[in-house]
Amino acid sequence: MIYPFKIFRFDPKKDQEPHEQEFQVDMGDSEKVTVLDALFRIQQTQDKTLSFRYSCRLAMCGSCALLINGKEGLACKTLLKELGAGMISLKPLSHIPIVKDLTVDLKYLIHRLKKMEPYFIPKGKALEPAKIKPTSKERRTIGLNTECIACGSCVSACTMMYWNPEYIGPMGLNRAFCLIADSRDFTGQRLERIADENGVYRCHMEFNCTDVCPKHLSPTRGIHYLKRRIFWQGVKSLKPMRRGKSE
Amino acid sequence: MVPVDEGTLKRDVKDVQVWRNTLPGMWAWLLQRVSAILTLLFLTLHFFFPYRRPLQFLLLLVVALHASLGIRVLVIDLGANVKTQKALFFACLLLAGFGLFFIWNYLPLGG
Repeated sequence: MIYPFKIFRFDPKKDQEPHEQEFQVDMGDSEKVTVLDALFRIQQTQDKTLSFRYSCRLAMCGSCALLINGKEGLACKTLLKELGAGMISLKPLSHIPIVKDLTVDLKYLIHRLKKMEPYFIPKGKALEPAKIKPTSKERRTIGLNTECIACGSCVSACTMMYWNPEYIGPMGLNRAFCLIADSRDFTGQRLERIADENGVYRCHMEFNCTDVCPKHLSPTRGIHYLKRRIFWQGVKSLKPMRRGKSE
Repeated sequence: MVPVDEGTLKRDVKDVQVWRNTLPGMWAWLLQRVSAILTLLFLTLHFFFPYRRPLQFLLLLVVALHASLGIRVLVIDLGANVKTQKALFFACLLLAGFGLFFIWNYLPLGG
């Protein structure tokens, strides 16, 4: 079967303007052909200069996230037969600097994470491993949100990233949620750092990140948990004032 | 042409595909923002032209939409399961419809 593609082409070092190039690819009769398979075929048979990123091919690494027919998805997970008849449009993720064609600069996402200290900081020097039951409230609250593969689909889908490039974004806030909700972690100043207009309050609950996440996670849920946590922390800080103990 | 700003791809509102991929959560947000602006507009007009039935209806419509979508935001803010957000959106639209129907037909509006 022949599939028509319209692929975004842009080399910031050479091109003044981006353009879209059309390709026709014969992918045979197999039903399990993915967008990534088609990209390989195009690169091998029609245009060796086409640039795209991939790694695991198992929807585990998040490297091959693209805008497929205008919606974020993993090229290795999206079957061509799911896209229906007609032209298949492929573009790089939005709101992330383009390196070339379909490849975006993921360093941008990593730098964005730095603000909220995206690493585990132990509370104390515990000699024994922490015991957190899978059925505990804490574990159920965090849920599967730790399974984020950092593909950047949520960042691309979030319209708030368009209006405010300083916004930490759903990926970073989801990471903050996983750490802050973890009782073993020393939260430190993390909550204060994300409690501003470039942090949790920039989320306007559009659910675009939730709808496009290839791992079916909900960063919005995590962001709302953080909002509630900041609220209750604020309420607690009012208590000394009520008792007349505030300085 | 594909819009690229400072080396990053931007969503183009003139692109039909962008709107085709707009999902219920996003529509809920957009509807609430638009209804807020329209409420301000119709409320201002209402001060200058009171008791005009079409204007009253439009004002009631946007207020009902804005209020019912506000309830959805409140429910999710208070910790409702995010998986229900789409169902909540449609429930809120129904609520706005019922509210509008009830107020318009059964409450005296000075008409």
